[in-house]
Amino acid sequence: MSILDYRILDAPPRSFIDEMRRKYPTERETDELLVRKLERRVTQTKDYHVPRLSEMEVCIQNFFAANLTTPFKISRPQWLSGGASKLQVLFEIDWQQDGKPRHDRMVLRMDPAESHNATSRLREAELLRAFRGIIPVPEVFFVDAEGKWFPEPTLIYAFAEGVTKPRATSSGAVSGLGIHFGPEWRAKLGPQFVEHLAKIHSYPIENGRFTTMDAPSTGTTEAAQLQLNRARRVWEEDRAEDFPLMEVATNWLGRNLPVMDKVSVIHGDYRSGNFLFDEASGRITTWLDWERGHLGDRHRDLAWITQAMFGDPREDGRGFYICGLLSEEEFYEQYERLSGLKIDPARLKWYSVLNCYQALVSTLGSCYRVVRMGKNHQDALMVVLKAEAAMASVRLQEMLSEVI
Amino acid sequence: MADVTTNALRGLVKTLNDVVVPSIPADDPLALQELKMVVRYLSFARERVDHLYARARYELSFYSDLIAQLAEILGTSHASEAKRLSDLRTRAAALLGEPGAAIDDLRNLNLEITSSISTLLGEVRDAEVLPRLERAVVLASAEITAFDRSWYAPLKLERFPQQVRPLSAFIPMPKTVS
Repeated sequence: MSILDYRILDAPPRSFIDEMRRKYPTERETDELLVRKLERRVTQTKDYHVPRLSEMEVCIQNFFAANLTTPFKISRPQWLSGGASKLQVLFEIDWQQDGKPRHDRMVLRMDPAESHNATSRLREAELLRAFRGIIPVPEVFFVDAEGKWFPEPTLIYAFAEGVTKPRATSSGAVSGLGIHFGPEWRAKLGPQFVEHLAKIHSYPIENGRFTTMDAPSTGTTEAAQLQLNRARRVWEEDRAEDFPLMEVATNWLGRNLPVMDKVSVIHGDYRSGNFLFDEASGRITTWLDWERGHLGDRHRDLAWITQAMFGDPREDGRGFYICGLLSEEEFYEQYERLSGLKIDPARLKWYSVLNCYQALVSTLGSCYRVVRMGKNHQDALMVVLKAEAAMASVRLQEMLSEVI
Repeated sequence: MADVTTNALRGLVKTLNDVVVPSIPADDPLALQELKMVVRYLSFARERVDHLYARARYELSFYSDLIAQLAEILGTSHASEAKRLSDLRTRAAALLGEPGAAIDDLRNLNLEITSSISTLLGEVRDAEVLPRLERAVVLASAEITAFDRSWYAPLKLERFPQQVRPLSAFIPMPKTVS
């Protein structure tokens, strides 16, 4: 019985990295990302700083000079806010494609040196390309998967017009959480929200030509085990302190792994705040933030979407609107009808506990470690998100008290 | 004695809001977002700084009570684990009874206790005992999670504020923030 050794977590030796890999096997690319995260804790120098916009401008210029064979001009670079994990730069470019002049607004989306959520830009690009023409997603232009041209791995895609919340609301101030849409916007956006999810979960994965994601076996508990392993591994690597409730959750999740009936594409962070819509037409214009995407059990997304932390309290005091958009009954009924897929309450329960556990891993563990290591551009946001951990721990306790 | 810390924090928040926020260029939303988070956290710190010591005592007291419960469940069938928890309980009682115990000592002993509980929950395989240990942790945790929710309420992310108990329900609050 010993307290956490910060010397190991701040500068993990190879033996620790190997132990994590052995104890918590994850899908291939996730394993590579987590190993990279720990290796770089050691190798990155202490004088690391968040890149300046002027440094990013040079990288953008050099990238296009090396990757385009025709003249181009970059203009109006600026930082973007939104999201809680990636550096984003908006810029304009005059260039040529297939001999024709183009003018585009592009978004450069780059990992910070260490994120509270180690994910892959290449995977995000594969998912966006797969769903182009199926649901609204931005056009992908380029991927610098290894960080050859930019300080970290980078994705460049089209800027999408739209807003994450009605301009008239002051809710959802942090990372789009808890947006109050009101009845008019619920009626316009709610049906689209479910329809797009149904299309994602019904997508034939063999059409995706995915190179970064492994499909877990149906009829087994592999999908659930991989997700649990990932969360537990990150908790071991990042946490600031022990929290006994997390141990109980680990035990329960491990004893009750559900069997998956069908492999679906999982968006991973499907919620209000991660889509843009056009206030004039009332249409969703794009779905963003696919970084937690993977192949797995649809109940992972369903349980994520229905978390209280993304909800908006109902006017009648009976619970909350899911993502501020639909009542629980409306959401489940529309989803089953549009997707042709059934919702299994037992799996929904298991993934609800896992998602809450995952939220605590991020907000209680990774957010702390990222701020401590000083390699992120949103330290202030990371510390404020501690309040989300408090709410998630209440929810985890409530759910565990029903099953333990 | 004038409370210079909370007064200073109030001043910092005001100057950031009144002077610095308006000077952020419109084309730098990331800077504005982060600045607003800084203001939010400083406001939170102002509300909580006077209660940090009470928090450390409360947490140690809570987990000290929990390990007493767990030691009883372990009983004679897991005597060595029970003794280790009892020893920690004795140390916690002594520290909590020590006038002016250092906040770091309170926190470090609490870290030791929570690590001990976590390790125990990962190691016990006894099918009779483990469910009872888990049940005890889950039931007791209703209180510590409610406390945390109350503690962080001033960060204003709470979706259901009517469910949050006042901080005074957990720790003594002899004075209001000036």
